Order: sequence, then C-alpha cells, then structure tokens
Amino acid sequence: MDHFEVVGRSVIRKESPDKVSGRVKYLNDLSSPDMLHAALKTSTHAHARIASMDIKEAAASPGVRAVLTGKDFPQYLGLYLGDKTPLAINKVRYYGEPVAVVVADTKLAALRAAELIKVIYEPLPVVDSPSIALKEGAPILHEEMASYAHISAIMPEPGTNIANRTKIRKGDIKSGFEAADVVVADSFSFPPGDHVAMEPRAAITEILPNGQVIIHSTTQAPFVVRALMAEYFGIEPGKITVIAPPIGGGYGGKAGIQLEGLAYLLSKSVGGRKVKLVNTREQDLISSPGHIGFEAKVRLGATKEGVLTFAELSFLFDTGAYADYAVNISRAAAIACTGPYRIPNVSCDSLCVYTNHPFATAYRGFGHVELAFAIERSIDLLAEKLGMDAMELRLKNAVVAGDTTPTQSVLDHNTGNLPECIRRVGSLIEWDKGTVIKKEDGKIIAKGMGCLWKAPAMPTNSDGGAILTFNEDGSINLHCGAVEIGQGIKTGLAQLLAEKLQMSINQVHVVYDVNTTVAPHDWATAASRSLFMVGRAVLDAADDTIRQLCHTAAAVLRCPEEDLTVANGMIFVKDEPSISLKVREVALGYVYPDGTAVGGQVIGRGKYIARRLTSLDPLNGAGNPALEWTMGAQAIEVELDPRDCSYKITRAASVMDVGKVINPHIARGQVIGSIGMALSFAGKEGFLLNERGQVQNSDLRSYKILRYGEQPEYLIDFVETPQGDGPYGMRGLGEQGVIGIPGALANALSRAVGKPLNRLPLTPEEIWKSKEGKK
Amino acid sequence: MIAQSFSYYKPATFKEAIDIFGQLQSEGKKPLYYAGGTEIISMTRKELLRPDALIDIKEIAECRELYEDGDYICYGSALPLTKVIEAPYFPLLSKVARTVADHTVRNRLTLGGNICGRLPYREAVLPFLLSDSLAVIGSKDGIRTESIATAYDKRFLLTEGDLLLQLKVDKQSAALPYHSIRKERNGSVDYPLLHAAAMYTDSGLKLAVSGLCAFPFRAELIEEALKGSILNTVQNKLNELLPSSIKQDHLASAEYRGALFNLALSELVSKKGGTVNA
Amino acid sequence: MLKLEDIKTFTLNVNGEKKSVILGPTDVLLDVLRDKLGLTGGKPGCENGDCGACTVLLDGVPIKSCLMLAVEAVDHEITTIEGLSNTVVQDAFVNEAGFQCGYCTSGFILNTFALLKEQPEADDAVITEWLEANICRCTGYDDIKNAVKLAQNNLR
Repeated sequence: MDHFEVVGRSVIRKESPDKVSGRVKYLNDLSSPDMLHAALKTSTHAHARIASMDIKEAAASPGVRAVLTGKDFPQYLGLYLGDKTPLAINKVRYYGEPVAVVVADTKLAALRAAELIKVIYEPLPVVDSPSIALKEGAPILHEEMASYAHISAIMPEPGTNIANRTKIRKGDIKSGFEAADVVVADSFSFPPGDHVAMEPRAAITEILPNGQVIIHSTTQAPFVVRALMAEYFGIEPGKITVIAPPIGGGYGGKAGIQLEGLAYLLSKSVGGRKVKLVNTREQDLISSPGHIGFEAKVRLGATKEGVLTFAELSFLFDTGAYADYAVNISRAAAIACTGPYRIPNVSCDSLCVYTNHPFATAYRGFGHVELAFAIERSIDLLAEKLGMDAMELRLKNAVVAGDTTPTQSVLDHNTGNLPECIRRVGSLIEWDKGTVIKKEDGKIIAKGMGCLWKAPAMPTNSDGGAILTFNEDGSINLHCGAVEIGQGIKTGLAQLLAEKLQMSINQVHVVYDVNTTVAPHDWATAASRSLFMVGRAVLDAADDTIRQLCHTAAAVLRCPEEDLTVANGMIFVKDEPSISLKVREVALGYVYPDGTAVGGQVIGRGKYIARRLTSLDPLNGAGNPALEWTMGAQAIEVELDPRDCSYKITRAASVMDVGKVINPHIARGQVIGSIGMALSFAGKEGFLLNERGQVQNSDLRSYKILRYGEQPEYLIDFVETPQGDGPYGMRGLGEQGVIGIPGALANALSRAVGKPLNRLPLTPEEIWKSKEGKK
Repeated sequence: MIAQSFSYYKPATFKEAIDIFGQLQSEGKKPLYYAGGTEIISMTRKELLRPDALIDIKEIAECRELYEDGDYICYGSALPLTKVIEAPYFPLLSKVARTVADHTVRNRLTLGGNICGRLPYREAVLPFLLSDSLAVIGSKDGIRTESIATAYDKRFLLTEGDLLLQLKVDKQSAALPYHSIRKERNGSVDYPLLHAAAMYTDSGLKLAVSGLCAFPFRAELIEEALKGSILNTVQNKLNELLPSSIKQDHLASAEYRGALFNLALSELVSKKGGTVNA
Repeated sequence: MLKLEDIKTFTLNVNGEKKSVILGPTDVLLDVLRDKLGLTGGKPGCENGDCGACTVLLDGVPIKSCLMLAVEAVDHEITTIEGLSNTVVQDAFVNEAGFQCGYCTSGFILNTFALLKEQPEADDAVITEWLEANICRCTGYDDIKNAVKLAQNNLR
C-alpha cells in the first residue's frame, strides 16, 4: 500500500476561516454606488399569448433607466438547443417566465417600476405532462423548432414536443423476453422541482468603453459562459471576462448559462453601465430552471433463478418550456439506463419533452436519480414476484469488469467493486436482521435498497488546467478554472499538489475567484469530474514544476538533473540528500552570492483532456461516452405509522467505490449531503401545479426541503478500488450519493405498507392513498 | 425588499394607537396594527397586502404584560410566542404555540398577530377557545372585556380600529388535563393539515380544531355528539358536525384531512379522563 | 409617539458600535445591514422568514432580519456574524466542517451561539427546536450537528 502524507487525510477546508466569519463575498455581496439594478416582471400564466404589454408608467417611474421587453432582444439562445429568447416574445410558455425587465438606479426603484408594467394575457391550453405532450393533437409549444440551432449530439423532432430522443438498442429484446420466466411492468413518475441552492442566482455585467465585457456571475461554468456569450452575441472571446466567486450551492443549477445573457443585454441597453440582476427566491425557484420531471415505463424480465434477461425502457423527461441542459440529461439517462446491472438485451427510448412547466437544467445526478428510481423500484418488484430477497437479486446481477454497459462499451479493470458495496451496505443497515419489522406500538420498521452507477456526462473534449506560481517563501499559488461551490475542490486540489511536491498543505495557496482571462481553461465545475480532471492537470503542473526546479538546481549543484528530487521544501540529490537547495532559493530564480541570477521563476503548467471518449451511434446508442464509472449501493430504514402513514427516516447507509479517498471528511460530507438532498427530493419536494400549470409552492414557506432534525443516522463507508487514471486512484463522488436513495426510500416504504409506491414525493398522504387503494 | 410605501408609527399608549388609527382612516388611508411583523412584512413584500401605515403596538404597556393575578392569567397581545411558550401558566398554550412557524420566527411572531392574522390557521387561539377566556379590547370608547365565546366566531370579531390588547384565561380551566395532535404534509416546520386540541372536564371533552376547515373553530357539535353517541357514529357523520366542509388544497385532500381528523378524534377520546399530557 | 413617514437619521447599535443610518419606514433590517452598513455576512436566502440565512441577534436573541423593519431595531443591540470572532462555536464549525457552500453558515452559527449561551446544556430536542429554523442544502445536517455538539462540549 502506498504511503501518503497529505492525500487520504481530513485536511481542514481552506476557506474555513472566511466562511465561519461571514467574510466570503458571494456575488450578491458585491455592490458599488455606480451600479444599476434590474428587476424582472414574470408571467402569471403557464401558457398564454401576450395580448398587450404597457410599459409607459414603468418607464416614467423615478430612477428608471430602461424598461425592456422580449421584442428588444429577438435572438434565440440555448445551451445545446437555441430555443429561448432572454425574455418571452408574443407568448409565455411557463408560469414565472420573465416577460420584461426594468433597469433603475436602485433596486427599490426597479422593483417599484416592475410592479407598474401591465400585461394582458390570453390563456392557451396547458400541456401538463410529458405524456400529454406526446399525444396526438397536443399543442406544439415550439412551432419554430425546425429553425433552432443545435449541437449535433442531440436530435430534436420538429412538429412535435420532442426536444431530443436517444435510442439504446443492445442485444435482442425479443429473445430476452423469451428467456424470461418472470416479467414485471410498471410506471414511475415525479413532478419537476428545484435545486434550492441557498444562494439565488445573480449576475453583474458591464461593458467597458474598450469593448471588454465583464461578467460576474454565480456560475459553475465560467468558460461555458464565455464561449456561449461569444457565440450568441458575436463578441470576441478575448473581450469577455467571466468572474466566478465562490458560490452558495450549485447542484447543477448554476452550470451552463443562466442570467448572464440577459444581464449583458441589460448593460448594453444602458450604455454599458454596470447592471446587477439578482433572482428573488421565488424567481430562483420557478423563473430560473430547476429539477427535471419524469415519467418512465419499465419492463424487466428474469429467469426463475433471478438472472436478468431484458429491460425495455421508456423514459419521458419533462423539460418544461425550454430544453437547456435537459436534452443531455435524457441522453445521459439513456447511457446508464439499466442501472448497474448486467442485462444482455436492452431497449430504451429516452425522450426530452416540452411541457408548460418551469424548465429544467442539470441537477445533481444528471438523469441518474431519475432512471435509478424507476430501475430500483422495478428490481424490488421483480424480487417480490420471484420470491427472492431484493439484496440477493441485486448481488446476482451487479455489473463487474468485463460486462458491457447499455452503450455496449466494456467495463474495464478500473470498474469499481459493486458486489462489495452491496454486501457492505447490507451489513451496515443490518439487512439480515429483517427488512420489515412490526413494533409493539403498531409502527413498522422497514428497509429498502438501491444501487447506483454514474459516469460524467460531458463533452468528449472536456478538459482542465492548472498553473502554479511561487511566492518568495517557496509557497505555491494554485490557479485553476474549477469553481468552489461548497464541494471543497480547492482543498482537494491543494492536497494533491502538496502530496505530489511533498510539501505542507499550508504552503499551498488557492485562488477562490475564477477569472476566465487569467485562469487556464476548464470545461465546467460539473459532472463530479473536477477533482479527477483538474486534479490530473495539477499533477501534470507539479511534474512540470519539479522539472523546472531540478533543471535550475542541477546547474547550481553541478549534478545530473535526473538525480534530483523535490520534497519538504528542498531540492536534493536522491541518494545524497545533503547536496541540496531550498525550493525558495530556486523558485523565483537562483541568485549566486555574487548577484548573478539564473533560471528565472518557475511557472508550473498542467493540463488534462478526457481520454478516448466517443459520441453515440444515433441508431443504437453504441459508443464510449464514459470517463469513469462510480458504483455504489445505498439503503434506507424507515419507521412508519400505518394509521396516517407518517414516517421517520431512521437510518441511511451508503457504500460507494470511489477509488482512493483524497479527503475522508469532505468525501463523507459530499455523500451525506447528497443523501440528505435525495431524501428531501424523494419525500417532500416537487412543484405543486394546479390545472392551469401555475406553481402553488413558489417560496420556501411552501416548497419544503429537509430541515435539521429530520436527517437520519448516516452510515457511510467507501470501497477503494483504484481508478487507474485517476489522481492517486480517485474517481468522482460529488453527485453519486443522491442516485440510489429515492429508490431505496420508495422500496422501504413500499415494503412497510405492502403496496407499490411508484410516484414521488412520498408524502404520508401519497402513501396512505396507495395503502387504502385510493386514486 | 419591500417595494411599496407606507408610514410607520409607534404609539406609547393604546389610546394613541387607536387615535392614530382613526385619524389615518379619516384621511382615507388604510392603517394596520403591527406587532411581530412576520406576516405583514412577507405579505407586503409579495404585494399581497398594501397598507398605507403600520401602527406598531409593541411599546404599549398592556400589550406586553404577562402575569397571573387572582383567577386569571393575562397575556399581552404583543408578546412574542417564545415568551408565551416559556410562561409556565398554561401548558396547552405552550404546547400549541410551540408548533407555530419555527423557533427564530417565534422570537418575533406575537400572540395577537397569530390569532388576528390573515392566515387561516391561527393556531394559538385554540387553547383560548377551549377555556374560559376573555378578550381585552381597546377601542375609541376605552377598554372593554368580552368573553371569547362572543368575541370569536371563525375569527376575532373586532370593529375596525379596535385593538386586541390582552387575552385572559381562567386559571382553573388552564390547568385542566389536555391533549393535542398536529399533523403536517411532511415535516414539522409547516402549516398544519390538522391541529386538534382537547381539554378534559368532568362534563366531557372540549375540542378546538385548526387546519381542517378554512378557519379555526371550537367543535361544539362534536363535543355534544361525543356525549351521546359512540365514537364511530360521530366519525361517520363528520360532515353534519363540522362548521363547514373540510378543506381541500394543494397541501392535502379533504379525504386525507378527514382521515387524520378521525384518527385524532380516536386518540383524543382514548385519553379521556387521563392526566395532563405534555 | 415615534413617527416615520419619510426618511430620518437613526443610530443603530451594531456589533458594539453605534452606526448612524438613514432609514425609511419600509426598510427591512437585512437590507440596511447589507446595503447601508456593508455587513454582508447575513444573507438573503428567501426574504420570507423561511430559511434563516439572514439570522442576526437582537439583544442576544436570534431573529430573522428579513422579517423585521430596520426602524424596529433602534435602541436594541444587533449582533451580526461580523461581530463574532474566533468563538468556540465558529471553531467547532471549522473543525467539524459544519458547512459546505457557506451561504447558510452565518445564520447557523449565530443561532447556535445564542442557543448555547442561553441553554448550555441543551439536549437534542432543544437543539433541533432551535436549529430547524435554518435551512442548509449542502450538509445533510450531520456535520452541523457534530459542530454544535463539539461547541457545547468545548464550552463546558
């Protein structure tokens, strides 16, 4: 076993002192007297024609600099599919859609003026679910779809409400069906919802007289913003600077491009002055994109011994009014559609469908929470029908190295050990002590399990970079494009660097704000790939640094460069350590006693680009889109009162094979945070939509998320099968902890009441209705 | 940020409060009495409420009082719920008030604000509906005291401009055995789907309910029915015994609320004659 | 009778310092602390009293500064996160990683600080009663719970 000094230790987060003293400046904390402020006017209808809009009174309101409506900004924008104008033109497609915006001297003046804008709507029929959207005669929400620009990886179907369709065809469903002794078929669903990052989205933009566009944004993807802003508005990329300060929670909701386009247009409309646009909580919940809704049909077959023979899957993703990231979410779900099970015959149609709901973007798990809910429920239904223990059925079919994924790529020796995860999670939750236990007081204790796998869903050319510069004391500044979103990335990267250079973590200084003009390129802080990809770049930069240090030192010490190494702030001859120089003597150029300087400063450069990823075959989905697969198993224990079906989540267990754990405390925190979020999602969340498509819970009074005291006891463990190409053998773990939980919770509660619970959220009433056989 | 405009007054006496209320009204303005602010600030921010003036009653001595005296316990209407909960005099009130909002909000949210508010729950009124209590009301003509039985029907029947100064509870009834049950959609920091509170007397169970219908009420018909019939019969004819139909909204169906209420009734009745429950 | 019909200058006592500020009747305390005094440690998370990210102490008692008019704070002592420095509670949040993104952290720390001052021996039920007033979306609450326990132990 390798011995590590810094890697594998629970180093305290670098940003700790600032975060506990309120000194971190989040975007909305930035202000200056010259700043103008924007306020949005949003739609009160889910689907309506804008009959008229009167902005006269608003424009005349004190302090107002501009009032802008959809017609002022006719360009279509979109992350992968250009289906959206910054403000609605002619019609609104969801409740909360921005229809106008006011720019004023103060936020108060902007808010007051926004109130004065008068909009008259003519309601249109509301498309209320993806299955309704696909029905013959359903209103077509994007009549202009044929004219929308899109990337080649997605396939919109003009004349329908389908924004993308991904097909998986592996093996032969017919023979898989014939080989099955037992088949289960069922439907699963949940409504759209929201990330509820505690920090609402915000952007500040200004355009300098020299044409430089400066965008401060709550973004997980500053380089995506730069690239898309350049593309949308024809700005030279070098004239765009995107600055991403630490952000108050992302979970995918601040990936892609959010308010930046609109904020730029606002600044442009007031002569380039600095404009601040901040979502209210209500706008952040419904006007900005949230968590995708889902409807699935699953047919799953197995032999009587419990060997899976086929899976026939239909996934309908409810992207709401616009596609944003969702066209890739439905694709990512297709790539992983079976969950981590060995299934030789697979058919999956995964569709991204427009409805009149608030639109969707990336959300922690990126399509996997969705597919896993349907698959894990189906596995339990199958186990029940087979008369087999649900954990045993999972163990029997768990993927191992050599198996193929739904896209027919072979899982190599880097594949995590899923069977071991299942066994360990079973032992943590004490599966063998019973999965349904009736208590004397009438309450029922029940357990449920769910497995997970996930690979980053990202462009095949995703990359990361790192630059290292030195200070006079030999300490290092680590520059990279990864954004600190609470995941602890800067600390993790500092650990990798300190390990590689055998130096103190305290000698590594991290830079919090990412500035696209000075930081090396980075795809995005998303898909749980930052520690892997930027980590690889940091190690590459460390190697470069060592080379440079040794090169200069070799001359000074008069020895071969290759005999030198770096550790503990010293550059020394490996086999004769007394022949040495201090790193600080060399890092900014070595100065001889007579004043002669040589070598110059050391600037470490490192880079990484994803290895051997390919696109998918449009006919059968064949391809290799996955950088690495993180596997895991999770289990939930509940205590349910069968009378009113209220319940408490008592224990949550999770074992994931994440390769080498770089920082145990942070890793555990990521998994626990994921579980908490997933329990909240599965038990409480989702938009409550009325028959007119209006969201009834658009604030945190009514959109409920997990609170202190509702969390279970968490039982967390890791398996550490090394990832060959991961830094020190690690693989991604930021999102995966959410994936198995909704299925595990639904499985536990289904077991408790003896009825299948296939819809989320699992409120007591929802459970009670199933139990009592009510609609 | 609140986008609308209003003015703010902080009178030192209830007389001042009522005078300024009347004066503003006579100027054609819409004043509101203001205490904890938790409801008024969020509703004005959302433009659901458009007052021209707020009259802050927190400095008024009567509204801040909390004492026991002779036969009564007196609660000032501007007391934050935390203070009401911490007072040892009326255990059911402490228990019921503890479920409103969250601890930090209860440090501001006042007894009078909760009871006279615009939200349909107003749970803090339940213990008062169950006991012999009095409402002390300030008006143009001075202070008057009314029995809660006449002062409350679905909501406090206050003439505009009148101000609820205090609530007084008979000590003996405050000390009666009690039980209460609160159910939420899924999580305790939420409005109730049902909040049923009961007190037990020699002559039977007294019951007050919030969340079930569009307003909190004393369930006198059910109390009577429970005296004469077995529980099951009462549960089967709830529709006849409730003051209005059961609420159906985005939080829960009427059916589930009804089922929760029947479960609660069974539990409350089974505690009959029991000792005080914490 | 205090009347505030337009704007007026008041003195607020914040973190032990007297601050002169111009207030209007509709100014919410959170906005005044952030926009007029530059104390941005308290955050607007919902502006509706639901999330607790804006929690400050008023005479030592936690309140949600988004649900209070600034004029109501005159003659009271306000403590924001900027008024706490190297306290046992803050150290405990560092050592137990009782935060991730940090946006809710000021509120949790101030609430915990007030709780442990008022009830050093608070049990789990009391801790839950107080802290369920704050929402954290990152941690699943486990490390926050550990931080509170550590602070409680270290204060003994």
